[in-house]
Amino acid sequence: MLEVNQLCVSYGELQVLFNISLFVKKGELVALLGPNGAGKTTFTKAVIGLLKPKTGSIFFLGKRIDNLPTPDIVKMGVAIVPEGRRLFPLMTVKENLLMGAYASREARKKTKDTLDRVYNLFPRLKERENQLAKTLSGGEQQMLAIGRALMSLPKLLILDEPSLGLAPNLVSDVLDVIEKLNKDDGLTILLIEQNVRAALQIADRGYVIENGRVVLEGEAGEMLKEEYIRKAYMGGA
Amino acid sequence: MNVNRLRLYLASLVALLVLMILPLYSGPYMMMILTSSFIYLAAAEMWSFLAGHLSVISLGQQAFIGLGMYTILILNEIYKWPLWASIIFSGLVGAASAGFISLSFLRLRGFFFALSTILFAEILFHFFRNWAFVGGATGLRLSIGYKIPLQATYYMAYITSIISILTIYYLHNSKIGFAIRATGCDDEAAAEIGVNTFIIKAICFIINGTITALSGAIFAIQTMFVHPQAGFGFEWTLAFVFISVIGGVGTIIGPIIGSIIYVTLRSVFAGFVGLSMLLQGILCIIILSIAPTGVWGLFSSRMEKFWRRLKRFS
Amino acid sequence: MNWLVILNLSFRALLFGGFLSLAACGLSLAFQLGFINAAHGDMAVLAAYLSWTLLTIFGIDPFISLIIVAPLIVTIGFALQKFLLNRFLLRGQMDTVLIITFSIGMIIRNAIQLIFFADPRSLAQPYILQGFSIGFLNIPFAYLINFIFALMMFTILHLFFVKTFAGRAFRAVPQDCEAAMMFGVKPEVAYMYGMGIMALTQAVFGVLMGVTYVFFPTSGMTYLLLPLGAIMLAGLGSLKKTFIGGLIMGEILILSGYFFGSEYQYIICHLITLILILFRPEGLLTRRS
Repeated sequence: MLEVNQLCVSYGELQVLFNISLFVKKGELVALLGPNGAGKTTFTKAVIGLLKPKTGSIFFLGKRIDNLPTPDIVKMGVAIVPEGRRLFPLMTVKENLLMGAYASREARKKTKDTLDRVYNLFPRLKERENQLAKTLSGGEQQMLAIGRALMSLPKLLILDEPSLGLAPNLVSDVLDVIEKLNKDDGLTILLIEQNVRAALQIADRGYVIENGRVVLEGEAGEMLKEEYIRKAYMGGA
Repeated sequence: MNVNRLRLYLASLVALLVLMILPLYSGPYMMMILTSSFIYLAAAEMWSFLAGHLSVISLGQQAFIGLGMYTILILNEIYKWPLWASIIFSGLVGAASAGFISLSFLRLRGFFFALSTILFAEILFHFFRNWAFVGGATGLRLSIGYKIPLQATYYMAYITSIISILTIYYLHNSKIGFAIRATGCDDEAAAEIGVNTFIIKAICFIINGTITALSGAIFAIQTMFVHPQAGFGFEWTLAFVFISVIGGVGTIIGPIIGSIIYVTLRSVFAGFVGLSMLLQGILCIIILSIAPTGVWGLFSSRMEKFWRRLKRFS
Repeated sequence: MNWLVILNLSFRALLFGGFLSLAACGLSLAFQLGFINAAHGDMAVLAAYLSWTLLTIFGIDPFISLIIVAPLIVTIGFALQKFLLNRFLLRGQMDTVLIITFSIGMIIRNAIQLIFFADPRSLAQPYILQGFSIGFLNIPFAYLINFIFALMMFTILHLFFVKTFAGRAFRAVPQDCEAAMMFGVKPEVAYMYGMGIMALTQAVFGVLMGVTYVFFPTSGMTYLLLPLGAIMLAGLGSLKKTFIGGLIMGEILILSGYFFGSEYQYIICHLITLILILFRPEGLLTRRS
């Protein structure tokens, strides 16, 4: 579904991503892992169109998207839960969710049903339906951000560090939801995470980025057993 | 000193001499046009400098013009001060009001600053319009024009223009020049590297106020009539914007070209001031869209390409 | 101090203020999107003159002329936005936009002056010059109708912003433009909507203003600076604030006219606006964060 070839991205003169190649097949949950500053968010921005790559290409459903503006990419069926949530602070929970459906005419028609599904997934959001987004707690905001992305009935859902800043019990809640969306609803997901073990436990495949380069890739189960991963990210044996 | 610099200085010197002698050979109409040109040139150079180098856009320049005009009216006409004193004082009034604006408004973001200059000019407009002492809405005549020859007004305007241009030239090439350009590019970044952006902006703005007020004073002497619309109308700002944009914002030669075009335009449409302003607005928009560097910008980039091509052949 | 007169004036000022806030709407939206339209007031004046033309040549009643004038002004606004302003806005060249809108204002003002000359004009109709009394209050019809129109437009705008996808998208852009883009909103479309609303409100305001007051080619500046004052008073961010700001500004204008004379009304209003810009640009009703 998503295919990235030899992507090189620079901030001005400073090159941040070096020949990144990865792919996500339909129905998969792929994890993109790596430490802070590795280039994960730069990658996300490039996929979603906020940054233009220097060289390389990105294809979605067979169409080239790296030269398209962000709104056009999103309209094709990519939804993103951005790093830091990026909710609309002065709009209510419901309005934030409705904004999620803006991109697709089909999504707009089905808002009532989609809203019900999102509220089923996150009952707390229904309780806070008319509250301003900025008044929600961290965990609720994360739920809202995910719900907002789901409202567009996406074909590919990208989550950029959803566990960031959340208490551990909330982290597992969020990851449960992500796993459910993939395993039960068949949603194709690209999960970008620092929390390596948790991500690999629910993912099908994974990539590890360090200093702008892919250093490891493979089946999630295999990667969990990898010596390298255990030493670097999970505190040894 | 390289050949190009020398050529520039020689050309300027010749131009200066010619312009100095010109009054001896021109009739009153020509005199009026030349004097007007220099009045506009002096003030427009200042606007262009502020907008181009410092990224400070003032849409209320007429405040200084009007203040300069009314200072002459009050001091010279009503209180019978000598002319030279009145002129100096109008420069001081310009400096003081610019200082006041600097202290209060310069820290504002671009829009708010521009809006505050508009408001400032409007307040002055209404104030002088309702002040019976200076003739209220109808204004008052000046008698000074009859007592001095046309040439004197010409030289005043001429000298003010030269002061304006030399000041800009000096600021540009002095140690402050770097600070000025840095502030103009990005004043937050400039502040971070230690530039006192406030002082820089204030200095430039006060110089601007002084010279613009002087231009206004000379304008009053030339036209011999001071009333609120003439002093505080928006036509002034439009004229300076037009002259700078057409000629080339931020350059010294740009406004020179711009003033020539402006005065020509005004003479062609002598009876129809509204029409000339209409055209000014339209031309501003066209130039900003198509050739934002103005006539001089186009010319100098063409010249560069020309020289480069020439060097490749030799 | 004639209390009866003051009460009457205050009430009238409320009606006027509510009407003024209509003019402040468009300006407030532009501010939130990050730019200023220096020709804001001139758009209203243009509408008034267009309506006057229709009245004088075809005898069309001003209120009916709105059906023609409003779409016309909106179209002009859209054209300007799409072909001229968006280019510079999307590149972030706000300075150039400022100069361009300033030039547009000058063009409109001078074109009007050339065609219509500088004489005062009015769209007043005989049926509008009456008033009626409730107790000790004398209410001129025109003021009441303007107020009602303003309320109507505010309601329509409110519904647009709250109930439609486009309206919500428009609100999202100033809150987080990148995030809005991540959900399919194109900033250039948001700018078009902003200009459309500005043009529509200004057209309605302009025609109604022409019916109630006398207007000149130079009136545009007043209808830029007074709404600016209204915005400065209450702050940006909601229609409610803009409305209240208008009410307060109306009171200040009319009451200072009573106490200090009509020459000083504008000085006082502009002075207050200036002081607010200096010391409280977020508005009196916005909490300092």
